[in-house]
Amino acid sequence: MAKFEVQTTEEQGIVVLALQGYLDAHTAPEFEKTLQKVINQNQYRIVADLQQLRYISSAGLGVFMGFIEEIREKGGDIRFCSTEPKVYKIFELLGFPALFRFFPDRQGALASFQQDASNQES
Amino acid sequence: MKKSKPESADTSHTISDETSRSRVELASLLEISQALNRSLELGDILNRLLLVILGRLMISRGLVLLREPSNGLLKPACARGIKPAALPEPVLVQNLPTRFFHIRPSSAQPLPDALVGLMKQRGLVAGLPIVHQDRVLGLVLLGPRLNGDTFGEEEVRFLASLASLAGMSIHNALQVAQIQSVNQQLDFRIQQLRTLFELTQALSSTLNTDQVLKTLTYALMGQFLVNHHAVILFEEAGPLLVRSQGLEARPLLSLLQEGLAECKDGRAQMVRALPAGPLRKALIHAGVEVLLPLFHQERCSGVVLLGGRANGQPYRETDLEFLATLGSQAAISLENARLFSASLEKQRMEEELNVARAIQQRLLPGKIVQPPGYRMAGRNVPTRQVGGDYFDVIPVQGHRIALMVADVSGKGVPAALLMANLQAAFRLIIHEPLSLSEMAGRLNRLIYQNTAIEQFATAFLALLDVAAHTLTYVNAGHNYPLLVQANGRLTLLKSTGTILGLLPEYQFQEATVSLQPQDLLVIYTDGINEAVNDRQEEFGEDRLRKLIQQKAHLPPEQLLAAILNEVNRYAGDLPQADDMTLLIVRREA
Repeated sequence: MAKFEVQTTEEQGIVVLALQGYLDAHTAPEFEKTLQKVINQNQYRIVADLQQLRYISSAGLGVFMGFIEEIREKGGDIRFCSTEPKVYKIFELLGFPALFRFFPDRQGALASFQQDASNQES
Repeated sequence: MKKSKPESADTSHTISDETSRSRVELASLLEISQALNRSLELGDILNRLLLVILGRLMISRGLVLLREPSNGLLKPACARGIKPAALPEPVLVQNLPTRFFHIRPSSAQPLPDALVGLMKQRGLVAGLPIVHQDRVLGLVLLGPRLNGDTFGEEEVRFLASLASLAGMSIHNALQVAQIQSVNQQLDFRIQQLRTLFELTQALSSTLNTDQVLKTLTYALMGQFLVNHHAVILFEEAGPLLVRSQGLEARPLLSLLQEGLAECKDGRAQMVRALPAGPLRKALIHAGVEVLLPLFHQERCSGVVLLGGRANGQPYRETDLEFLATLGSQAAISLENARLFSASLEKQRMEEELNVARAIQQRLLPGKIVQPPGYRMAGRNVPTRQVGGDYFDVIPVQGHRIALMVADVSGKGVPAALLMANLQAAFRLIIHEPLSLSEMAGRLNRLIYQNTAIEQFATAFLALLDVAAHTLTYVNAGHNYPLLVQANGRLTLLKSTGTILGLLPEYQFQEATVSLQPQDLLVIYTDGINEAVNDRQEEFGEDRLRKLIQQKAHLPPEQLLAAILNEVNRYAGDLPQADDMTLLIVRREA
């Protein structure tokens, strides 16, 4: 049985979800719950750190699609970082890079949110 | 990258201008050839080619059109000095020139009108075909030279050399691009298959409708980059919107059920390809782009609606095929989930009925009292369903035994509840200092007040005085009990009042018979005489009376068993509609 885990932490006021293992049709509901919980706490700025993610299937991608509209309506975003090439290829095949921002590392993704915030202030 | 420099011209002062210019040209050809061959990326190559030409001939505007290998359409591939909005749409041009051309009227070669028009609109005056192995791969179209010079023989020669160099590189790059595109498509197909495989597994591993739909919709959302969707199930009670995001699907429900009632397969359909009508209009209005019927074994159990893709791309034919495959998988899983939950429900109800039946059996007397000088036997045979028969034998003060046989109307839980109610009331009331008719009056009131109008009970209540050998009874609309005397004479203990629960106030009469030694009393419910055989013929009262007269000599337990045996033999294995109850009393001495 494929194993999936997600760790939720907060850095600089941004929720970081560190995904681990296999995000597929079996594990998608679990991830959905985690994401729902984050949103229920009115946190809409989210970095998905995929460094430890080994595989993602359509159902896993679907969870992101399911929430992104609501998150963006609330002024937030989901941004991806540290994606393994094999995993990134799946995102790419399905056209995700046109809709989502990807960063090489967590710092970059976090910084992009800070950048947004300072742009808004100025 | 180190650029190759033209050799300096100081080796000889005798070299003419022309020769030195040729050398420069050769050098730049060499340079461009190296640059072109360094890359297999088409955009790179075209960009460099255009830059070299524009720079070398002092031209400010240029456009490269490439022919699509599949349909021959000329498509803009690279441009300089032309705004993106001014780029031409892909166009089919026959008889493309194979040599450098200029659109001035005196041009040696006749040019296709479409090409000339396209060029004139964008201020392009000359063109250079890119040829590889006698095939025109595309055209480089150029604006006028800024210094006002024309394209001389020399320039044309230079351009021709360049074009043939570029031809090879572009050909290679196109090949690579094609392989990449095939690879991309293959990867995509593999990804689709993987999704399908994973989903098939996931769907078949759950019997939970909600889980099936969740898995399906997430896979669709991820696969097609779509977030607006809805799922509607066509249940027996009507269409049910079970999931919805970003689509106003509620107004569509009945239209969809009507529209899909005639659907013959599970093919996914583009909404814009539907026949014009209210359904198509409503779907478009709601933002639905694709309809995916959940079709399994001739039945459309629901439909998935998908909105537009978030990347703005259209759904393709292969997407629809993929959707149909997923849809049929989901439909099977939904059907399984439905069957499973139906059987769970049935199982649950049966368990509840079992409990009710067990409770009901416990309300009946376990061991029948045997007063001196009398033998008694009683039994209730419940049907598979919970029924409403009740009998009781209760010793009361003064050598008396209260007897009761009742049949509550209806079946199932309501009947069982009323039976339990009647039992409780009778057991309470029987010890009160009341006459039997008064008791019947109270039971009647109780049933009338506590139940719906269609619920009632027939009952035979009696007090047997085992000292005085009398039987006082009230027959409230019940089957006539049989009193068989020792000489074989048969008396029917007919009604002394109407059924319980029919009228709010009713005065029951009571009657009394005396019992002689060997007299036999048989009280029964209509489950006995109305038992049917495979021709739907009833066992009947005549047959019952004859049987009892024949076997009247048997002790009550044996007579009871004999009657039940005979009825069961008559009815065979047919499930009987009603409970069967028998209460038999014989005065021994």
